[in-house]
Amino acid sequence: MEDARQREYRPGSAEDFDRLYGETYRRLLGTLIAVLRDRAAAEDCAQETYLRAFQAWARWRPDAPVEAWLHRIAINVAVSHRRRERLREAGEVIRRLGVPAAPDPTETSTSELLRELRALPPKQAAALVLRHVHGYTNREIAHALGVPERTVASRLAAARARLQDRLGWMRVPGTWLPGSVASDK
Amino acid sequence: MSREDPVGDFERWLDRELPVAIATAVRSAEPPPSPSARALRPSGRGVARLGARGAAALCAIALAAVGGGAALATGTPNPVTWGQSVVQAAVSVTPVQHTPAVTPEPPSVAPRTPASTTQTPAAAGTASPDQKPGQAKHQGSAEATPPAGSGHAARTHDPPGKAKGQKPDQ
Repeated sequence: MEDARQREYRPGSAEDFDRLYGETYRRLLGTLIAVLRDRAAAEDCAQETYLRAFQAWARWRPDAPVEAWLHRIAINVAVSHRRRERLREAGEVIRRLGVPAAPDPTETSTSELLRELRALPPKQAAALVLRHVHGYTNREIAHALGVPERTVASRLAAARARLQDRLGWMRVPGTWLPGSVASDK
Repeated sequence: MSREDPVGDFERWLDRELPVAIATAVRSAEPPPSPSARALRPSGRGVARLGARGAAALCAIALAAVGGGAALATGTPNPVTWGQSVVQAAVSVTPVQHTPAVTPEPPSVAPRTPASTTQTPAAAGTASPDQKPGQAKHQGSAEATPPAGSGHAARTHDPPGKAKGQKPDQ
């Protein structure tokens, strides 16, 4: 289905870009929300992503999966954003002289899973979202992350292990259960 | 089977929970206008998009339009003439509004200040030029604030072409 749609996109066509925008915006925003700390930042990065994509739209090659191409731009934008955010946070810590920051009110409404996902390195979090939310193949994830396909499996495994650990999944005799999530329910 | 496959369990759990978490976070996100639409929409930065050459061309067109209008009004393409015609127009307009009915007595030697531009009857005088300044002053002091519509408003300024302190009959 992805391929059938993709054949219809013509590089450089503003109409086709608008259609691509309408069809992919929510999914791309979902990925960015998982990678970035808050929704506003995700929306800003989504806009920057589409702006960059539009500027490069004439150079897009139809043989590349278009949504993976968009995700590649988005993840690069998100990584740059998080880098700037870390620098800003470091400045704030110095300014506050170790006093803990006030809690972010938007954080309370997000699920624990999302919070822990955001704590992962951006490319690991993105890999998990592309696989478990968007159902990407390893090839598409490789294209989106800009890494060789063989790297994707190991990166996914590392991301899952880390998330599992952060969520506190516990070995209950005979099975594995999500510790904190299970206790929530 | 799943009891012996913790990795598979976790993957399945992620398959189930992650889309829900993301969907909840995305909620009803209405996409803003597409970047292509914004790129095509005229904005305040239109002139900036023209670049230096475009801006220069725009300035040239604007100047030509202004010059053309002035040339049309004065009947000559010489800009010096445009300036002269503006001065002439200003000179010809001013007396119509401010020519006093009676040539006023010039004010004393004190330099003109903004406050003195609106002459009181004392300074302007109401009698003939033969009247002595002292008389005019005395007469004016009695009616320092003329009533509205008394006709004094027409004598608020010196006529054009008369220098400061110059006698009207000179």
